[in-house]
Amino acid sequence: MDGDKGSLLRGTLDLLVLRILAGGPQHGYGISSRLSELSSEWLQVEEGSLYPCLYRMEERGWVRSELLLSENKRKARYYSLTQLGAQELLVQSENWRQFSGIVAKVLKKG
Amino acid sequence: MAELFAALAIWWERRRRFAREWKFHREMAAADLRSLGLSPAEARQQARRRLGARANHRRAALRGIGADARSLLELLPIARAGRSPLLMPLVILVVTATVFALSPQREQILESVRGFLPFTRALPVERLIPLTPAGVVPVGFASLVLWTCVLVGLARLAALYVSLRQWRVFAYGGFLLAIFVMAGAVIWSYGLQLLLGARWGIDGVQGFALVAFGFAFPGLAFLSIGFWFRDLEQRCPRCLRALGLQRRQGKPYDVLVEPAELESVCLYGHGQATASRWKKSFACDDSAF
Repeated sequence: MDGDKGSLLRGTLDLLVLRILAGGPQHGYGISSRLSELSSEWLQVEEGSLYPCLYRMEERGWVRSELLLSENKRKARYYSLTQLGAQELLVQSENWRQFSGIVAKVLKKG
Repeated sequence: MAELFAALAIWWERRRRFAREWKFHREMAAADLRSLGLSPAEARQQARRRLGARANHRRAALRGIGADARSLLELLPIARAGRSPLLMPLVILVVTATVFALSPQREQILESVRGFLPFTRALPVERLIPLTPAGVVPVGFASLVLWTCVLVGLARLAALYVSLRQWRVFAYGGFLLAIFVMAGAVIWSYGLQLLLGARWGIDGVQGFALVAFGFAFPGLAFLSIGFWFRDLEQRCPRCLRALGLQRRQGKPYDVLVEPAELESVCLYGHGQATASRWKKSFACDDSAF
C-alpha cells in the first residue's frame, strides 16, 4: 500500500486478510491478488506488509498454514482461518462498521 | 546456550520459509504474465525484474518476521550485553577513570570535583592562565549546569516513579544520574586543565577554545540528560534490561490515529505497556495481560 492509502489503511490489513481467508484457504500471492481484484486495483498490498501480517496472525492463532499443491502444481503455503480467527473477523468487522459509520456521520454533519 | 541454538533454529526456519514463499510469489507473478501473452523466458525475466525491484519490500518483510541480519545480531550474546543495565554505568565509569588517569595533576581534579559539592568551600583560584598548579579550576559555571541537570533529572525521575510505581527504576536512574554528574565534573576539570594549564603561543586561539568548551559543556550535559531519560523509559521496570520486540496493539479505528497500546518486552518476559493515558509494567505470568 503506498502513500496516503497506506496511512489511511494502517491497522486494517489484518481485517482485510481475515475477510479474504474467510472465503477459503489462500496462499500469499492469492491473498494479494484477491485484495487487488476486490478493490478494483485500488489496494496493492506490498509483500513487505503482507507476510509479516500473515506470520503475526499465525502466531496469534487466527490463521493456520499448511503446505499444499497449488493450481500450477507447485508446493505453496496455504493460509486458512481458524475458529479464533473467525471470531476476530466478526469483532474487527463490527468495530470497522461502527468506526466508518461514525466518520461518515461526522463528515455529513460537519 | 541451548536457548541461543533454539533461537537460531527459529531464525533460520523463518528465513527458509520466507524464501520459499517469495520464490512461489515470483513464479505466480511469472505465470500471470505468461497468461497475458509473454513467452516463458520473458515472463520470468519480467517477474524477476518486478520483484527484484522490490528488494526493499523483501527486506521489510524479513525485518517484520524477525529473520533479517539485524534480528540475528540481536540473538547473539553480545547484543544481550548491550541490553544489560550494567553497560551504561560501566561505560561512564571507564570514561571517567580514563580521563582521570590521563590528567597530569590528579590532585587538582579531586580538589576541583570537591568544589562541585554544595556547602563546601573550594580552594580559591589564584591565577587562571597558566592555572595555579596546586589550586582548583573554576567550577562555578559547570556547577550551575550540572546542578540544573540534577534538578531536571530528579523531577523527571519523580514523574516516572509516579507513573510506574517501580522503585528499581527510580534507584537505577538516581544512581546513573549521580555518576553522570561525577563524570561531568571530572570532564570539566580535565578540560579546563588542558585549556588553562599553560599559556598558548597563538593569540586568541586559547580564548576561543575556552569559549567553545564553555558552550559545548552545557549543550552536551543537556543532551546527555535527554539520552539518560529516554534510556530509562525504555528499560524493563522489573529487571532493568533494555526493552525490545515492540508491538503496537489496538483496534483498527484506534490505530488510524495512534496505537491504542504500545507493548514492549524484555528477554525475560517482563515488560511495559503504554496507552495514551497510562503506563503499566507487567510480568510474563501476569493474568491482567
